[in-house]
This record gives sequence, structure tokens and C-alpha cells, in this order.
Amino acid sequence: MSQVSFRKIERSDIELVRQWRNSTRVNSQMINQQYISKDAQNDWFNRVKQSNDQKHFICLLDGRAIGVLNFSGITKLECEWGCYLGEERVLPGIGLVIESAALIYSFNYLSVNRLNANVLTSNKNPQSMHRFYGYNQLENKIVTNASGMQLEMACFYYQKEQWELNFKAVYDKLPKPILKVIENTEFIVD
Amino acid sequence: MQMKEIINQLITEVATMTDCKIVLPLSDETVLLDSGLDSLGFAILVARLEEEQGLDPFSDMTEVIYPRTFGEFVAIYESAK
Repeated sequence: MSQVSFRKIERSDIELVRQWRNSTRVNSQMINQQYISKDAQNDWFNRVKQSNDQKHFICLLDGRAIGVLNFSGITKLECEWGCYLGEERVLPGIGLVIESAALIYSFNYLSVNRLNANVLTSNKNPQSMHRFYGYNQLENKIVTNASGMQLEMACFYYQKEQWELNFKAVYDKLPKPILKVIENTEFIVD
Repeated sequence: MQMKEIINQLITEVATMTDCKIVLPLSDETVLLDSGLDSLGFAILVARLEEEQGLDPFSDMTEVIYPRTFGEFVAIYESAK
């Protein structure tokens, strides 16, 4: 069976992550779409290492790095999550595994009460998954990125108590093969 | 029916069920992540292939090969048959 796990990003990962982040597929779905140089990536990693309000994980599929899961704006009460797949050779349905992992990590490890998720309105896949999982949807908002471009964001959130009530019903709707992978997902934490 | 036809038919059904817009026609080179079918759609597709064809290559393979394209996805199921 496929094994999905998440471990903290390390310095040895950042060049691969930079290549992923600069790829057209990933870059086009980000708020900031500027090309990221090696120096900029280094500076970003140095900031992340010092930061208490962000966590960045590498998503591993059978031990192979395939993408990133991140949490930002972490407070005692809430955080926001995002992710991207850097590799195209992945388990069909992997997005559902990452969707579950975000909820589990934020509510069980970070112990926040609210998980936020904001995606570009052009990015349809995550929006349909958020709705399937039972996220609440707020009004769209317009953000201006570092290049001055205005982008429309679809905004979602999940309250911890809601997930505790919903998760069984959501998991009952999931196809059995992917549910098995979700149940075996690991977070490798210190 | 050939495996490719079976998968094509199921993809159409699953896309309707999950309200996804498939990029048609699907060619062997179509990258699955660009096909229009979302993760839920793919998870349902894999489950349907297991239920209806008795095939679950992603669980059964000792060394799992993951498909990048539609052609590779079909080839995996043809090998598993």
C-alpha cells in the first residue's frame, strides 16, 4: 500500500522546492508569481527556520518527495494551510490525503480551533475538495500581490468542533482504497 | 471491452458525478494532473476499477509505479489484468 508521510523541510530540500515553486503549474496558482532565485530561496528558508508562526513540510510518497504542505499565520487559535504538488507522478487521489493531513495536523498537533484555507478562484481542484470535506466558505476577497497584480481568492475555514462532528461522515464517503492511505499517513515530528 | 475504453467510460461517469470538466479527448500524453479530473474523481475512479474489474495495482504492486499520464494509467491497469 502507498505510504504518505510528512517531515519538516530541511536545507537540503530547498533547491528542489524552489524548482517546484517556479514551475508553471505551481507558480500560476500562487499569490506571488515572481521567479524565485537561489538567494531569495535561501533567505526564505533562513526566515522560516527562525519563525514561530510557520511550519513547512515535505510530502513523501513511499519515501519520495512529491510536494509541500505548509501552515502559516499560526496562533493559539488559528492558522492557514496551503500545499502544492511538485511532482506529476503521484498516487491518483493524493489531494485527498493532503486535505486530511492538513486537518489532522492543525487540530491534533497545533491544537488550533480554526483552520483557514484560501485559494485562487482559478484553482478549482482544491475548492471542490474543501467543499467535499465540509469547509465553510466566506465571500471571495481580492488581494494584491508583490507585483501589483490583483487576484481573487476563494476563502474557506473549518472550526475544530465541526471537524470532530463531521470527520466520520466525510471519511464514510471516501473510496476505501484512499481511506486506507489516509489512515496510514504519518507526520514525522521531532 | 478493452481496458482503455473501460477507463475512458468510467472517467466520463466519474467526471459527471464529481462535476469535473475533463479535457477531451484524453490522449496517452495527457498529464493526469491536467486532465480536469480532481483528486476525489481519481480516488473514485480507482475504487470503481477495483470494484468492477477486481484490479487495485496501487495496493497490489510490490514496487508501486505511479502514472504521470493517461497512457501510463491505462498501461498500469492493462498490466494488472
